[in-house]
Amino acid sequence: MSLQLALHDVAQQRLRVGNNFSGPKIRHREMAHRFSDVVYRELTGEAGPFDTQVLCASPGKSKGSKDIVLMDYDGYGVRPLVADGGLNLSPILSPNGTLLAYTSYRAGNPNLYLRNLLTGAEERLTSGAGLAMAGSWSPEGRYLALNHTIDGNSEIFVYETKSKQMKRITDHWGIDATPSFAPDGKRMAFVSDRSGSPQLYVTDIQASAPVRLTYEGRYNTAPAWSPRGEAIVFVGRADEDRSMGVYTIRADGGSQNRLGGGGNPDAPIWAPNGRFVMYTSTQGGSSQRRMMREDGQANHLLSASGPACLTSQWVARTAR
Amino acid sequence: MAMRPVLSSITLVALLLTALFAGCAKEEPPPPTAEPPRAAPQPPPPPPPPPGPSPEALRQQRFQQAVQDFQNQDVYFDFDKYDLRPDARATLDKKVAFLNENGSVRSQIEGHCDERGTSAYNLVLGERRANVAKQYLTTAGVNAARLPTISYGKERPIDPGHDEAAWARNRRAHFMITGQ
Repeated sequence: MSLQLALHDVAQQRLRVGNNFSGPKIRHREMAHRFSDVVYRELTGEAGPFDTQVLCASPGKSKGSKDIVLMDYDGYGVRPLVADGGLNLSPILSPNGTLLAYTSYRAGNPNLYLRNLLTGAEERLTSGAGLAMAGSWSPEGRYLALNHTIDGNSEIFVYETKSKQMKRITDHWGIDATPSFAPDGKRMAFVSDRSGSPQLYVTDIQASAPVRLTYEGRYNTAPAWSPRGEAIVFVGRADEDRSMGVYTIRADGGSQNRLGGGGNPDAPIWAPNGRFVMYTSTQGGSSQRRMMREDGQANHLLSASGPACLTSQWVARTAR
Repeated sequence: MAMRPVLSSITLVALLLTALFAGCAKEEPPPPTAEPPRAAPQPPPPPPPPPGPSPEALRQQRFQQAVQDFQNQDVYFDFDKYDLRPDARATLDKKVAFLNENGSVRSQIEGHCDERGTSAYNLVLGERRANVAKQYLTTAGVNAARLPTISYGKERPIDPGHDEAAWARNRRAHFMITGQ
């Protein structure tokens, strides 16, 4: 099959951009996505969000199990990465697309695993009863930020892949969890209930004293730091009507903005270009994956063809 | 041609009548008894038991009942909370009594959350719930090694509903005997 796609400027009567694609017919969606990114770049000068993939934990074949899958951002092209019939959660892929961090219950406890997708080699980073969960990779792939519970207390750690050393970042009796790296690879946002309710804080790789970010509402969780700046997206709950919503706030604590609400939004994540936010919204037991612009406009349902899964990361396509 | 609809109407009426009478025939008055209807006829009464069950059998029976109670009664929490309510403490006091009486029992404590809130945070929250339950028991003298904990966050709700009643049942620490 060959496909010719072109963008014409009708007013100026000229061809803005055109592409010829050829390949097996089964790859027509990929061709359309790639051309959409070409158009996006022509119009904005930036990389588009269309030829991208997401990682998610998807209901598996056996009851209560979840598989780790990689799929196109719109839910097509599902590729299982971990499907062992057990409970697997929170997959986070390294920036070069080779190291997959995820939580698995296969050894009887929610431990953290690191799998090399090229070689298939896998190591277990934590052991024992305490929950361990990957939060995010630093942009150059040197550090994996995570939370790990030791003696009943969850703290933020960073794992350095080269030295294989864990460095403890937080030290507090309260919950400290779900770290997300800033694009500078030094600061990170995380959740702590040290004030009595879950709120967002910022610390850094030097384990500097955490600075509290959010003061509105008594439930602010799931921070994700934009790959292109100072915005942090998260799930909060409004005090007045107790409705949950997706919010952004600047890393200095300013400009808090509610992007959208309805149902029970979970795990907001940024497109690789930092211009869009995807999240999963559940209401009455049924889940939808939705996507919107960084300002909350153009909120729309993503293709419902994919499995009902909780997306934990949005990545540029790394391999075909 | 013109007869056909009439004929089919008659057939229909006849069929309806048959159905009505068939329905009537089935509707016998309920037996004048307060007993619930039984699926199968009453089996013949069992032979008279030997004079009194053995003390061992009685002990086993009591133990099995205690195990059921121990595992079926969950410790409940408020939304986004992991402190122990008065009813949670009362439930845990019963767990202490059972564990003291049965010194070889090991029980895993599972922490669970309702479907609201974010998944990752709920995993940590569920872990806290399991751990405060454990802490209460160890403070009361139960050996911590008998009480491994695990969190399932909102992955394993016991009530599949989506209302306040279901949420209240799902915010729990659950006890599962893993060895005795």
